[in-house]
Amino acid sequence: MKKWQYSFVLLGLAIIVGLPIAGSLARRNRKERCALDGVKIEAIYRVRIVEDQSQARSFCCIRCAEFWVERRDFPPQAVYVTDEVTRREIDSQLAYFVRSSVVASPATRNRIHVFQNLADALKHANTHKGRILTDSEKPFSRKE
Amino acid sequence: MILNAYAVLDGFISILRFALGALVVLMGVMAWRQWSPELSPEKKKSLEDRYYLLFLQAFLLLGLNLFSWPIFYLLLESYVPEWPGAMCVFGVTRVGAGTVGSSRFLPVLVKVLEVTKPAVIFLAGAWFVLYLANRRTATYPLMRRVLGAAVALGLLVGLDSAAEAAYLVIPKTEKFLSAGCCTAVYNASSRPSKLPESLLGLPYRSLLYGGYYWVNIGMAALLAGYTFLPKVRPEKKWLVPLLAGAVISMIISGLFLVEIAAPTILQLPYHHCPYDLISEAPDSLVAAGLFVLGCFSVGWAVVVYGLAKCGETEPFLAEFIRKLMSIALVCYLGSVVMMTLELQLA
Repeated sequence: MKKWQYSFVLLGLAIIVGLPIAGSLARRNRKERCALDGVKIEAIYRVRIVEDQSQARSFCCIRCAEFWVERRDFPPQAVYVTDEVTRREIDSQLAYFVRSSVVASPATRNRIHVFQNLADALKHANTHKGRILTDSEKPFSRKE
Repeated sequence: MILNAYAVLDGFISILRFALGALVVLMGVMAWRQWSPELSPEKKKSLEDRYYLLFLQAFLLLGLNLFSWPIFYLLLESYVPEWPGAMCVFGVTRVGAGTVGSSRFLPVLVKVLEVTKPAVIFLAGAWFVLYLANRRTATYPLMRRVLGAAVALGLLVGLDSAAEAAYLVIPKTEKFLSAGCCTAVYNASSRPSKLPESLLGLPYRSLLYGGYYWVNIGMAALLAGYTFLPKVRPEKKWLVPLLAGAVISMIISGLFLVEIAAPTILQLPYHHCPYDLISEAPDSLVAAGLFVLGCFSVGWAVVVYGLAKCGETEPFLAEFIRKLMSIALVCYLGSVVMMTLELQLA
Protein backbone atom coordinates (compact mmCIF):
# COMPACT_ATOMS: atom_id res chain seq x y z
CA MET A 1 0.00 0.00 0.00
CA LYS A 2 1.12 3.52 -0.75
CA LYS A 3 1.51 6.20 1.93
CA TRP A 4 -1.74 8.00 0.97
CA GLN A 5 -3.62 4.71 1.12
CA TYR A 6 -2.38 4.12 4.68
CA SER A 7 -3.49 7.65 5.59
CA PHE A 8 -6.91 6.96 4.06
CA VAL A 9 -7.32 3.72 6.04
CA LEU A 10 -6.24 5.45 9.28
CA LEU A 11 -8.70 8.29 8.67
CA GLY A 12 -11.51 5.80 8.06
CA LEU A 13 -10.68 3.90 11.26
CA ALA A 14 -10.50 7.15 13.23
CA ILE A 15 -14.01 8.08 11.98
CA ILE A 16 -15.48 4.63 12.64
CA VAL A 17 -14.10 4.44 16.19
CA GLY A 18 -13.90 8.13 17.08
CA LEU A 19 -17.39 9.29 16.08
CA PRO A 20 -19.37 6.98 18.39
CA ILE A 21 -17.04 7.85 21.29
CA ALA A 22 -17.34 11.59 20.63
CA GLY A 23 -21.12 11.30 20.20
CA SER A 24 -21.49 9.33 23.42
CA LEU A 25 -19.42 11.87 25.38
CA ALA A 26 -21.45 14.76 23.94
CA ARG A 27 -24.74 13.10 24.94
CA ARG A 28 -23.65 12.64 28.57
CA ASN A 29 -23.81 16.37 29.29
CA ARG A 30 -27.39 16.87 28.13
CA LYS A 31 -29.99 18.56 30.28
CA GLU A 32 -32.76 16.57 31.98
CA ARG A 33 -35.23 15.12 29.43
CA CYS A 34 -38.43 13.14 29.56
CA ALA A 35 -37.53 9.48 30.22
CA LEU A 36 -40.21 8.34 27.76
CA ASP A 37 -39.77 10.46 24.63
CA GLY A 38 -36.74 12.65 25.30
CA VAL A 39 -38.60 15.97 25.20
CA LYS A 40 -37.32 18.94 27.22
CA ILE A 41 -39.20 19.04 30.55
CA GLU A 42 -41.15 22.17 31.45
CA ALA A 43 -40.95 22.63 35.22
CA ILE A 44 -44.69 23.36 35.51
CA TYR A 45 -45.71 19.92 34.12
CA ARG A 46 -42.88 17.80 35.52
CA VAL A 47 -43.73 14.35 36.86
CA ARG A 48 -41.24 12.27 38.85
CA ILE A 49 -41.55 8.55 39.35
CA VAL A 50 -39.56 6.74 42.05
CA GLU A 51 -39.06 3.09 41.17
CA ASP A 52 -37.37 0.18 42.90
CA GLN A 53 -34.11 0.95 44.70
CA SER A 54 -35.11 4.64 44.83
CA GLN A 55 -34.26 5.16 41.17
CA ALA A 56 -36.11 8.29 39.99
CA ARG A 57 -37.16 9.20 36.44
CA SER A 58 -38.63 12.49 35.25
CA PHE A 59 -41.33 13.00 32.60
CA CYS A 60 -42.63 15.93 30.60
CA CYS A 61 -46.31 15.30 31.33
CA ILE A 62 -48.86 13.04 33.03
CA ARG A 63 -49.48 11.08 29.83
CA CYS A 64 -45.83 10.09 29.37
CA ALA A 65 -45.58 9.06 33.02
CA GLU A 66 -48.74 6.95 32.75
CA PHE A 67 -47.43 5.30 29.58
CA TRP A 68 -44.22 4.43 31.45
CA VAL A 69 -46.01 2.99 34.47
CA GLU A 70 -48.28 0.87 32.24
CA ARG A 71 -45.23 -0.80 30.71
CA ARG A 72 -43.40 -1.63 33.92
CA ASP A 73 -43.78 -5.01 35.59
CA PHE A 74 -43.95 -3.54 39.09
CA PRO A 75 -45.81 -0.46 40.34
CA PRO A 76 -43.66 2.53 41.30
CA GLN A 77 -42.83 3.29 44.91
CA ALA A 78 -44.09 6.86 44.54
CA VAL A 79 -45.25 9.33 41.90
CA TYR A 80 -44.72 13.05 42.38
CA VAL A 81 -46.51 15.63 40.25
CA THR A 82 -46.12 19.42 40.06
CA ASP A 83 -48.75 21.88 41.23
CA GLU A 84 -49.36 24.28 38.34
CA VAL A 85 -49.94 27.24 40.67
CA THR A 86 -47.05 27.02 43.14
CA ARG A 87 -44.81 24.81 40.92
CA ARG A 88 -44.10 22.68 43.97
CA GLU A 89 -43.71 18.92 43.80
CA ILE A 90 -46.53 17.02 45.54
CA ASP A 91 -47.46 13.37 46.02
CA SER A 92 -49.83 12.34 43.22
CA GLN A 93 -52.25 10.83 45.77
CA LEU A 94 -52.75 14.25 47.35
CA ALA A 95 -53.21 16.13 44.06
CA TYR A 96 -56.37 17.20 42.22
CA PHE A 97 -56.34 16.38 38.52
CA VAL A 98 -58.42 18.42 36.07
CA ARG A 99 -59.07 17.44 32.45
CA SER A 100 -59.76 20.66 30.54
CA SER A 101 -59.65 22.17 27.04
CA VAL A 102 -56.12 23.50 27.65
CA VAL A 103 -53.44 21.35 26.06
CA ALA A 104 -50.56 21.09 28.51
CA SER A 105 -48.18 19.25 26.20
CA PRO A 106 -48.91 19.64 22.45
CA ALA A 107 -46.70 16.71 21.44
CA THR A 108 -48.55 14.21 23.60
CA ARG A 109 -51.91 16.03 23.59
CA ASN A 110 -52.02 15.89 27.37
CA ARG A 111 -54.98 17.87 28.78
CA ILE A 112 -54.68 16.82 32.42
CA HIS A 113 -53.65 19.55 34.83
CA VAL A 114 -52.43 19.18 38.42
CA PHE A 115 -53.34 21.28 41.46
CA GLN A 116 -52.58 21.01 45.14
CA ASN A 117 -55.65 22.97 46.29
CA LEU A 118 -59.24 22.16 45.45
CA ALA A 119 -60.01 25.86 44.94
CA ASP A 120 -57.36 26.18 42.23
CA ALA A 121 -58.59 23.00 40.56
CA LEU A 122 -62.20 24.22 40.53
CA LYS A 123 -61.15 27.63 39.22
CA HIS A 124 -59.24 26.02 36.31
CA ALA A 125 -62.11 23.61 35.58
CA ASN A 126 -64.66 26.43 35.46
CA THR A 127 -62.50 28.74 33.37
CA HIS A 128 -61.43 26.14 30.78
CA LYS A 129 -64.49 23.89 30.42
CA GLY A 130 -62.92 21.11 32.47
CA ARG A 131 -63.81 18.78 35.30
CA ILE A 132 -62.03 17.34 38.27
CA LEU A 133 -61.19 13.65 37.82
CA THR A 134 -62.72 11.22 40.30
CA ASP A 135 -60.58 8.82 42.33
CA SER A 136 -61.06 6.00 39.82
CA GLU A 137 -60.20 8.30 36.90
CA LYS A 138 -57.10 9.77 38.53
CA PRO A 139 -53.80 8.99 36.80
CA PHE A 140 -51.66 6.34 38.52
CA SER A 141 -54.62 5.31 40.69
CA ARG A 142 -54.59 1.66 39.60
CA LYS A 143 -50.85 1.05 39.68
CA GLU A 144 -49.97 2.54 43.02
CA MET B 1 -43.62 28.88 2.88
CA ILE B 2 -41.34 28.87 5.90
CA LEU B 3 -38.21 30.75 4.99
CA ASN B 4 -34.98 29.95 6.78
CA ALA B 5 -31.38 29.24 5.75
CA TYR B 6 -32.07 25.57 5.03
CA ALA B 7 -35.18 26.40 3.00
CA VAL B 8 -33.16 28.82 0.83
CA LEU B 9 -30.35 26.27 0.37
CA ASP B 10 -32.77 23.44 -0.33
CA GLY B 11 -34.76 25.57 -2.79
CA PHE B 12 -31.62 26.61 -4.64
CA ILE B 13 -30.38 23.01 -4.91
CA SER B 14 -33.82 21.83 -6.05
CA ILE B 15 -33.94 24.42 -8.86
CA LEU B 16 -30.38 23.54 -9.88
CA ARG B 17 -31.17 19.82 -9.87
CA PHE B 18 -34.36 20.30 -11.86
CA ALA B 19 -32.55 22.37 -14.52
CA LEU B 20 -29.66 19.90 -14.73
CA GLY B 21 -32.05 16.94 -14.80
CA ALA B 22 -34.00 18.48 -17.69
CA LEU B 23 -30.74 19.17 -19.59
CA VAL B 24 -29.53 15.62 -19.02
CA VAL B 25 -32.84 14.20 -20.32
CA LEU B 26 -32.78 16.48 -23.38
CA MET B 27 -29.14 15.84 -24.28
CA GLY B 28 -29.44 12.16 -23.42
CA VAL B 29 -32.37 11.65 -25.79
CA MET B 30 -30.53 13.55 -28.57
CA ALA B 31 -27.40 11.46 -28.06
CA TRP B 32 -29.49 8.27 -27.94
CA ARG B 33 -31.00 9.07 -31.33
CA GLN B 34 -27.63 9.85 -32.92
CA TRP B 35 -25.79 6.90 -31.49
CA SER B 36 -25.68 3.65 -33.42
CA PRO B 37 -23.47 0.58 -32.95
CA GLU B 38 -22.73 0.67 -36.69
CA LEU B 39 -20.98 4.06 -36.50
CA SER B 40 -17.27 4.14 -37.27
CA PRO B 41 -14.89 4.34 -34.26
CA GLU B 42 -13.90 7.91 -35.28
CA LYS B 43 -17.53 9.01 -35.45
CA LYS B 44 -18.25 7.35 -32.10
CA LYS B 45 -15.28 9.12 -30.54
CA SER B 46 -16.39 12.50 -31.88
CA LEU B 47 -19.97 11.93 -30.59
CA GLU B 48 -18.61 10.92 -27.22
CA ASP B 49 -16.54 14.10 -27.11
CA ARG B 50 -19.55 16.15 -28.13
CA TYR B 51 -21.60 14.71 -25.30
CA TYR B 52 -18.84 15.11 -22.78
CA LEU B 53 -20.93 17.90 -21.24
CA LEU B 54 -23.83 15.46 -20.75
CA PHE B 55 -21.67 13.14 -18.67
CA LEU B 56 -20.23 16.06 -16.75
CA GLN B 57 -23.78 17.18 -15.93
CA ALA B 58 -24.80 13.67 -14.90
CA PHE B 59 -21.73 13.52 -12.65
CA LEU B 60 -22.67 16.88 -11.13
CA LEU B 61 -26.21 15.56 -10.59
CA LEU B 62 -24.75 12.62 -8.65
CA GLY B 63 -22.88 15.01 -6.34
CA LEU B 64 -25.87 17.34 -5.89
CA ASN B 65 -28.16 14.43 -5.07
CA LEU B 66 -25.72 13.12 -2.48
CA PHE B 67 -25.76 16.60 -0.96
CA SER B 68 -29.53 17.09 -1.16
CA TRP B 69 -30.43 13.96 0.84
CA PRO B 70 -29.03 15.19 4.22
CA ILE B 71 -30.05 18.77 3.40
CA PHE B 72 -33.68 17.64 3.10
CA TYR B 73 -33.61 16.12 6.60
CA LEU B 74 -31.82 19.18 8.00
CA LEU B 75 -34.62 21.27 6.48
CA LEU B 76 -37.27 19.12 8.20
CA GLU B 77 -35.29 19.35 11.43
CA SER B 78 -35.20 23.15 11.13
CA TYR B 79 -39.03 23.17 10.87
CA VAL B 80 -39.52 21.37 14.21
CA PRO B 81 -39.73 24.55 16.37
CA GLU B 82 -42.45 25.92 14.04
CA TRP B 83 -45.05 23.47 15.41
CA PRO B 84 -45.52 23.04 19.16
CA GLY B 85 -47.02 19.58 18.55
CA ALA B 86 -43.90 18.34 16.75
CA MET B 87 -41.13 16.92 18.92
CA CYS B 88 -38.90 15.80 16.07
CA VAL B 89 -38.69 15.37 12.28
CA PHE B 90 -41.47 12.77 12.41
CA GLY B 91 -43.92 15.42 13.63
CA VAL B 92 -42.94 17.65 10.69
CA THR B 93 -43.53 14.80 8.23
CA ARG B 94 -47.15 14.62 9.50
CA VAL B 95 -47.87 18.33 9.19
CA GLY B 96 -50.84 18.78 6.87
CA ALA B 97 -52.41 15.38 7.58
CA GLY B 98 -56.16 15.75 7.97
CA THR B 99 -56.35 19.20 6.38
CA VAL B 100 -58.45 20.13 3.35
CA GLY B 101 -56.33 22.80 1.62
CA SER B 102 -53.13 22.39 -0.36
CA SER B 103 -51.36 21.42 2.89
CA ARG B 104 -52.98 17.98 2.61
CA PHE B 105 -50.34 17.08 0.00
CA LEU B 106 -47.42 17.74 2.38
CA PRO B 107 -47.30 14.27 4.06
CA VAL B 108 -47.60 12.55 0.66
CA LEU B 109 -44.78 14.69 -0.75
CA VAL B 110 -42.52 13.80 2.19
CA LYS B 111 -43.27 10.10 1.68
CA VAL B 112 -42.47 10.41 -2.04
CA LEU B 113 -39.21 12.21 -1.25
CA GLU B 114 -38.21 9.59 1.31
CA VAL B 115 -38.41 7.00 -1.47
CA THR B 116 -36.99 9.03 -4.37
CA LYS B 117 -33.94 10.36 -2.49
CA PRO B 118 -32.27 6.95 -2.02
CA ALA B 119 -33.58 5.78 -5.41
CA VAL B 120 -31.89 8.74 -7.12
CA ILE B 121 -28.58 7.97 -5.38
CA PHE B 122 -28.80 4.33 -6.43
CA LEU B 123 -29.64 5.24 -10.03
CA ALA B 124 -26.87 7.86 -10.16
CA GLY B 125 -24.41 5.26 -8.87
CA ALA B 126 -25.66 2.70 -11.41
CA TRP B 127 -25.16 5.24 -14.21
CA PHE B 128 -21.68 6.02 -12.91
CA VAL B 129 -20.46 2.41 -12.76
CA LEU B 130 -21.82 1.75 -16.28
CA TYR B 131 -20.10 4.93 -17.49
CA LEU B 132 -16.78 3.85 -15.92
CA ALA B 133 -17.05 0.39 -17.52
CA ASN B 134 -17.88 1.92 -20.90
CA ARG B 135 -14.94 4.35 -20.69
CA ARG B 136 -12.51 1.43 -20.50
CA THR B 137 -13.65 -0.04 -23.82
CA ALA B 138 -12.43 0.86 -27.30
CA THR B 139 -15.74 1.03 -29.24
CA TYR B 140 -18.12 2.06 -26.42
CA PRO B 141 -20.51 -0.90 -26.72
CA LEU B 142 -22.40 0.18 -23.58
CA MET B 143 -23.09 3.72 -24.76
CA ARG B 144 -26.84 3.23 -25.28
CA ARG B 145 -27.22 1.75 -21.81
CA VAL B 146 -25.16 4.57 -20.31
CA LEU B 147 -27.36 7.11 -22.10
CA GLY B 148 -30.51 5.25 -21.02
CA ALA B 149 -29.35 5.32 -17.41
CA ALA B 150 -28.56 9.05 -17.70
CA VAL B 151 -32.05 9.79 -19.12
CA ALA B 152 -33.71 7.71 -16.36
CA LEU B 153 -31.59 9.57 -13.79
CA GLY B 154 -32.61 12.94 -15.25
CA LEU B 155 -36.31 11.98 -15.15
CA LEU B 156 -36.14 10.74 -11.55
CA VAL B 157 -34.19 13.81 -10.46
CA GLY B 158 -36.85 15.96 -12.17
CA LEU B 159 -39.59 14.22 -10.18
CA ASP B 160 -37.61 14.40 -6.94
CA SER B 161 -36.67 18.09 -7.27
CA ALA B 162 -40.21 19.07 -8.37
CA ALA B 163 -41.67 17.28 -5.34
CA GLU B 164 -39.13 18.99 -3.08
CA ALA B 165 -39.85 22.43 -4.54
CA ALA B 166 -43.60 21.80 -4.13
CA TYR B 167 -43.01 20.82 -0.50
CA LEU B 168 -41.13 24.05 0.09
CA VAL B 169 -43.69 26.29 -1.64
CA ILE B 170 -46.97 24.82 -0.32
CA PRO B 171 -48.23 27.02 2.53
CA LYS B 172 -48.01 25.32 5.90
CA THR B 173 -50.70 27.37 7.57
CA GLU B 174 -53.21 24.55 8.12
CA LYS B 175 -51.06 22.70 10.53
CA PHE B 176 -53.08 20.09 12.39
CA LEU B 177 -51.03 17.19 13.62
CA SER B 178 -53.77 14.60 13.43
CA ALA B 179 -52.00 12.00 15.58
CA GLY B 180 -49.54 14.02 17.63
CA CYS B 181 -45.83 13.35 17.15
CA CYS B 182 -43.82 10.13 17.13
CA THR B 183 -44.93 9.20 20.66
CA ALA B 184 -48.41 8.47 19.30
CA VAL B 185 -47.11 6.26 16.47
CA TYR B 186 -43.72 4.74 17.30
CA ASN B 187 -44.43 4.10 20.99
CA ALA B 188 -47.81 2.53 20.25
CA SER B 189 -48.04 -1.21 20.69
CA SER B 190 -49.64 -1.37 17.22
CA ARG B 191 -46.61 0.15 15.41
CA PRO B 192 -45.83 -1.69 12.14
CA SER B 193 -42.28 -2.68 13.20
CA LYS B 194 -43.83 -4.62 16.12
CA LEU B 195 -45.65 -7.00 13.76
CA PRO B 196 -42.86 -9.64 13.87
CA GLU B 197 -43.08 -9.59 17.68
CA SER B 198 -46.78 -10.40 17.44
CA LEU B 199 -45.95 -13.29 15.13
CA LEU B 200 -42.81 -14.61 16.81
CA GLY B 201 -43.64 -13.95 20.46
CA LEU B 202 -41.36 -12.78 23.23
CA PRO B 203 -37.86 -13.81 22.08
CA TYR B 204 -38.28 -11.37 19.18
CA ARG B 205 -35.85 -8.85 20.68
CA SER B 206 -33.03 -11.36 21.14
CA LEU B 207 -33.84 -12.87 17.74
CA LEU B 208 -33.60 -9.45 16.13
CA TYR B 209 -30.34 -8.73 17.95
CA GLY B 210 -28.86 -12.02 16.76
CA GLY B 211 -30.40 -11.62 13.31
CA TYR B 212 -28.79 -8.23 12.81
CA TYR B 213 -25.30 -9.53 13.61
CA TRP B 214 -25.70 -12.85 11.80
CA VAL B 215 -26.98 -11.22 8.60
CA ASN B 216 -24.49 -8.36 8.53
CA ILE B 217 -21.43 -10.38 9.54
CA GLY B 218 -22.59 -13.13 7.18
CA MET B 219 -22.78 -10.57 4.39
CA ALA B 220 -19.30 -9.32 5.28
CA ALA B 221 -17.99 -12.90 5.20
CA LEU B 222 -19.58 -13.53 1.79
CA LEU B 223 -18.19 -10.26 0.47
CA ALA B 224 -14.74 -11.08 1.88
CA GLY B 225 -14.92 -14.45 0.12
CA TYR B 226 -15.88 -12.76 -3.11
CA THR B 227 -13.12 -10.17 -2.77
CA PHE B 228 -10.22 -12.34 -1.64
CA LEU B 229 -10.81 -15.82 -3.07
CA PRO B 230 -9.12 -15.92 -6.47
CA LYS B 231 -11.35 -18.74 -7.78
CA VAL B 232 -14.53 -16.67 -7.43
CA ARG B 233 -15.74 -15.20 -10.71
CA PRO B 234 -18.73 -12.93 -11.34
CA GLU B 235 -21.42 -15.54 -11.81
CA LYS B 236 -25.08 -15.79 -10.90
CA LYS B 237 -24.36 -18.38 -8.20
CA TRP B 238 -22.37 -15.75 -6.28
CA LEU B 239 -24.20 -12.56 -7.17
CA VAL B 240 -27.77 -13.74 -6.53
CA PRO B 241 -27.08 -14.79 -2.88
CA LEU B 242 -25.21 -11.53 -2.31
CA LEU B 243 -28.09 -9.46 -3.71
CA ALA B 244 -30.63 -11.48 -1.69
CA GLY B 245 -28.43 -11.03 1.40
CA ALA B 246 -28.30 -7.26 0.83
CA VAL B 247 -32.12 -7.09 0.59
CA ILE B 248 -32.58 -9.25 3.71
CA SER B 249 -29.99 -7.21 5.62
CA MET B 250 -31.87 -4.01 4.69
CA ILE B 251 -35.13 -5.38 6.13
CA ILE B 252 -33.54 -6.77 9.31
CA SER B 253 -31.35 -3.71 9.89
CA GLY B 254 -34.39 -1.43 9.40
CA LEU B 255 -36.32 -3.35 12.08
CA PHE B 256 -33.21 -3.40 14.30
CA LEU B 257 -32.87 0.38 13.97
CA VAL B 258 -36.47 1.03 15.05
CA GLU B 259 -36.84 -1.67 17.69
CA ILE B 260 -33.38 -1.81 19.32
CA ALA B 261 -30.85 0.76 18.09
CA ALA B 262 -32.96 3.93 18.39
CA PRO B 263 -34.25 3.25 21.96
CA THR B 264 -30.78 2.16 23.14
CA ILE B 265 -28.80 5.02 21.60
CA LEU B 266 -31.38 7.60 22.68
CA GLN B 267 -31.48 5.97 26.16
CA LEU B 268 -35.28 5.96 25.96
CA PRO B 269 -36.33 2.29 26.32
CA TYR B 270 -39.93 2.76 25.10
CA HIS B 271 -39.26 5.33 22.38
CA HIS B 272 -38.79 3.77 18.95
CA CYS B 273 -38.53 6.86 16.73
CA PRO B 274 -35.56 6.65 14.31
CA TYR B 275 -36.10 10.31 13.32
CA ASP B 276 -34.94 11.38 16.79
CA LEU B 277 -31.46 10.12 15.89
CA ILE B 278 -31.12 13.03 13.41
CA SER B 279 -31.11 15.61 16.19
CA GLU B 280 -30.04 13.57 19.22
CA ALA B 281 -27.40 11.20 17.82
CA PRO B 282 -26.29 12.40 14.37
CA ASP B 283 -23.10 10.33 14.65
CA SER B 284 -25.20 7.15 14.41
CA LEU B 285 -26.40 8.30 10.98
CA VAL B 286 -22.86 7.76 9.66
CA ALA B 287 -23.26 4.06 10.54
CA ALA B 288 -26.61 4.05 8.73
CA GLY B 289 -25.03 5.83 5.74
CA LEU B 290 -22.20 3.27 5.56
CA PHE B 291 -24.77 0.48 5.66
CA VAL B 292 -26.77 2.01 2.79
CA LEU B 293 -23.57 2.48 0.77
CA GLY B 294 -22.68 -1.17 1.40
CA CYS B 295 -26.08 -2.39 0.17
CA PHE B 296 -25.99 -0.05 -2.83
CA SER B 297 -22.47 -1.24 -3.77
CA VAL B 298 -23.75 -4.82 -3.98
CA GLY B 299 -26.63 -3.54 -6.16
CA TRP B 300 -24.24 -1.62 -8.41
CA ALA B 301 -22.07 -4.73 -8.80
CA VAL B 302 -25.16 -6.66 -9.95
CA VAL B 303 -26.05 -3.82 -12.35
CA VAL B 304 -22.54 -3.99 -13.83
CA TYR B 305 -22.81 -7.76 -14.20
CA GLY B 306 -26.27 -7.53 -15.77
CA LEU B 307 -25.81 -4.55 -18.07
CA ALA B 308 -22.07 -4.24 -18.77
CA LYS B 309 -21.25 -7.82 -19.72
CA CYS B 310 -19.92 -8.01 -23.28
CA GLY B 311 -16.80 -9.06 -25.17
CA GLU B 312 -14.93 -5.82 -24.68
CA THR B 313 -15.60 -5.59 -20.94
CA GLU B 314 -14.78 -9.25 -20.29
CA PRO B 315 -11.05 -8.68 -19.45
CA PHE B 316 -11.69 -6.19 -16.64
CA LEU B 317 -15.28 -6.87 -15.55
CA ALA B 318 -14.35 -9.40 -12.84
CA GLU B 319 -11.85 -7.00 -11.27
CA PHE B 320 -14.33 -4.12 -11.56
CA ILE B 321 -17.05 -6.07 -9.73
CA ARG B 322 -14.51 -7.24 -7.16
CA LYS B 323 -13.65 -3.60 -6.38
CA LEU B 324 -17.33 -2.76 -5.87
CA MET B 325 -17.68 -5.76 -3.56
CA SER B 326 -14.62 -4.66 -1.58
CA ILE B 327 -16.25 -1.23 -1.07
CA ALA B 328 -19.39 -3.04 0.14
CA LEU B 329 -17.27 -5.16 2.51
CA VAL B 330 -15.61 -2.11 4.09
CA CYS B 331 -18.99 -0.38 4.45
CA TYR B 332 -20.71 -3.40 6.04
CA LEU B 333 -17.86 -3.92 8.51
CA GLY B 334 -17.59 -0.20 9.28
CA SER B 335 -21.34 0.02 9.86
CA VAL B 336 -21.43 -2.99 12.21
CA VAL B 337 -18.40 -1.76 14.21
CA MET B 338 -19.89 1.75 14.52
CA MET B 339 -23.33 0.46 15.52
CA THR B 340 -21.79 -1.89 18.11
CA LEU B 341 -19.80 0.96 19.63
CA GLU B 342 -22.89 3.20 19.65
CA LEU B 343 -24.91 0.53 21.46
CA GLN B 344 -22.16 -0.30 23.96
CA LEU B 345 -21.40 3.32 24.81
CA ALA B 346 -25.07 4.34 25.16
